[in-house]
Amino acid sequence: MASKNINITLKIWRQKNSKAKGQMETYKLNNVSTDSSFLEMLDQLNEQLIEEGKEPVAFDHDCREGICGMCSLYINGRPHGPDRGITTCQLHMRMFKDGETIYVEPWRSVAFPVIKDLIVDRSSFDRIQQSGGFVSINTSGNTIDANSLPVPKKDADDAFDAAT
Amino acid sequence: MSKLDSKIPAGDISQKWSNHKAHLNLVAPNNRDRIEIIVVGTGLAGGSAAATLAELGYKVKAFCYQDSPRRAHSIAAQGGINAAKNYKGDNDSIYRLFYDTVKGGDYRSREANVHRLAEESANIIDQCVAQGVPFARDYGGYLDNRSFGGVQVSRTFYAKGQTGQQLLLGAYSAMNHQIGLGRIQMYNRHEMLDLVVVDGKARGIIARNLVTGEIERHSAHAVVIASGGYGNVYFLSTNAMGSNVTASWKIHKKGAYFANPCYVQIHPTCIPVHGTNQSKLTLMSESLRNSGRIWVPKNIEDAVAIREGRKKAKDIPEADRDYYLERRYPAFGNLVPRDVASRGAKERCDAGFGIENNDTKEGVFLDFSTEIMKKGREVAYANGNHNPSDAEVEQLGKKWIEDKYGNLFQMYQKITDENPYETPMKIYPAVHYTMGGVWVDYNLMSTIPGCFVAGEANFSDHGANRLGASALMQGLADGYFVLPYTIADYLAADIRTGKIPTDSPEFDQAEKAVKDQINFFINNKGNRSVDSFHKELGHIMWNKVGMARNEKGLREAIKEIAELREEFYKNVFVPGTADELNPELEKATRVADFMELGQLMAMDALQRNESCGGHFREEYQTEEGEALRDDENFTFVGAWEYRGEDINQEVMHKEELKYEFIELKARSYK
Repeated sequence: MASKNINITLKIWRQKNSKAKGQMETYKLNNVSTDSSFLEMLDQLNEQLIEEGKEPVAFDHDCREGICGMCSLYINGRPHGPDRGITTCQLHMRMFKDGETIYVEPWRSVAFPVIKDLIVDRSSFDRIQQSGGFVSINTSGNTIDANSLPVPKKDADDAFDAAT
Repeated sequence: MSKLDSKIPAGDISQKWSNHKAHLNLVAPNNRDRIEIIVVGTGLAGGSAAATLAELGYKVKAFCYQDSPRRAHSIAAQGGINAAKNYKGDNDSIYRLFYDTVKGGDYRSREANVHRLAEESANIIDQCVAQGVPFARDYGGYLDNRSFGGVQVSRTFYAKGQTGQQLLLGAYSAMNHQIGLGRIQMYNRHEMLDLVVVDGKARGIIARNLVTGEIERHSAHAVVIASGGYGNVYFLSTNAMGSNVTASWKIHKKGAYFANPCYVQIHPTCIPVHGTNQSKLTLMSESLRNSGRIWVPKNIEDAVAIREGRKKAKDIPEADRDYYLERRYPAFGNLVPRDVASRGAKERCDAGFGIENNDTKEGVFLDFSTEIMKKGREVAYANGNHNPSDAEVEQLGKKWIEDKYGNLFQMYQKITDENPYETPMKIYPAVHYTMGGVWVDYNLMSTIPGCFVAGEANFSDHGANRLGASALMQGLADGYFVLPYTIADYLAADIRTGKIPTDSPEFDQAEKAVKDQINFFINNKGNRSVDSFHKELGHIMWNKVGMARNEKGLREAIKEIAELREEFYKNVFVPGTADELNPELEKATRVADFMELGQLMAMDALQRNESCGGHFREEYQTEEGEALRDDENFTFVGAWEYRGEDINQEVMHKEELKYEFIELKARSYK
């Protein structure tokens, strides 16, 4: 599908820091290419805000290819937005229509308090893992040859699927 | 004055590492908790080092800029990890892995380091399997292997197209164990902004808490930098958005020489650029080249027709397709090393045969139709169907592809909105990895005593070009099996030192320098965003210090970057304040370092009057367009010494590379 440009209205949660109250702000953004990713669209908004001398919207992101788990937005009330089986950074603007209003919020969870704007603190999840969610084997490398214990292919495949 | 003593041990290549280990000093178990070690970066190299050192009993402080150590960009590595296990019985061995890697590096790496890597590779796989990493297995229950570019054996272990993720989660699991026991203090959302050197030794860092903006002092008996590569100097690369050179660059400014900065790897199979808002480039794993065939149309009118949408790939009959890598390099075909494949794509697109309809018309096909039919027939036969219909073959073949590469195909579809099971992928080279990095000796120590560098951040093992699936191997070898031994040798002298104080003049000065830099950016009355400068730097770098370099372009780049840097300091605008979460401020300090590095990269490329690996000088090529090395004059590592704000003043020292066990040859994959 060939790309085109759309105009959208964004309603985005702004919050100065973890102690501030926060509220939804409205922004209009024109000429967004449908080939852009959602985060590239937010980059475009931020560039506009900076030009106007305002503070850009803070959001977590890193790999922008769906693997690191850093990005975390509620888009139109759904975690990672309207598409299935992806993270926010893999969402593309071709999923939205010209003239649409898009709601963008941080993760809504008491366990993940807001740090600023759309960024939340997920350290509670790491603390759970550190209290026993790990394989407790030493990293000495002095272990048996990797092929000593065959693992049925189906088990290996299932383990991979569970881990991703 | 040069401080380059590589400390390569004497003796036969296969004995160097074991002899060296036998003579390294140790720190007794009961003394280890008197010693503190800082690890900056928690990817494969940093994470495995932190976990191993903590397990051995040292007190470790680890830092990462993300909200959790498991976000490091190692997680995005797709295709696999090499090891000389010879499980496939195709004549692999430690020697062959060693040889392939040195040749793949175009004879510009340290022999001894590479052999050590090959020796430790098998241990890495054993270690990861013991940790529970779900590598792919065959029907016998044994680990599966595939081939990667530049080799003629199958030695790459993989977990679908997400090997980096699984390996990193293994290292992260080991880290969690130690964090839970209090042996690693983990500082998430922290960025190292300077190194503190006391009495000539690395004794700590200055770090910024990215949430509160607080500037913190952290001391240790040794500092390990494992902060990854500097590909983001090009703005568009396959790196994560936050990947940066700052930790490496700051230690460079404090005395750590920076080696071979011009050796950049451009990966041949990435999704082409779609527009000016593009923020990064997405890698399509090299493992796909096991199954995909790369081609462009033979006739230029067909290429134009495809770009303009009048023809599709499947409209081009087989006879009219130019499988140019198979044509030029029969022995390796589509699995030539990355630099060779990238230049091949550039050559065809420069000649007008590109098939992507973007600004630069750069794109070639990566086609799976042959493999789909071949594998479909094999699976049908194995199922007892010796006369399958084309439709059955196609269906079975697509299922086979999905099992092998599923997530990669899904990723491609999400980004481009095209179905790669039905139509070939469009790909083009993109900046991916940096072979250059901080100079280290055989013990992984930089020219600053007590400052070690591991993983992609150092320069040592890949020469002028890295082979696919070797980065994961190097990161884990450094972190699990090299650094823990070599760092003990250094730390043996510190068992009675006691805690390093943070209220010394050196810490005061370093903290002040960091605060001054931050205040400068916050208060600068400019009107251009950091990103706008970063993009402009990226353009200069890609066009003039990219896949094909020449003297004129490099001199222009040096000048243009220096001018851009001046403009940056005059005109950059950073909104917000310093004592809060401020992504623009984070970007500003990183881009400031990229500006200096970019200039050094161009200078390094300019002095290297030859072509080797990822460094291609148009003036030095064979008649067939291959890289032309000058072994007589350039078999050395160019290690640069910082001499102050004017990057033109940097001085290059040479570490001569001696090849005692491998004969230097023309690097041919024909």
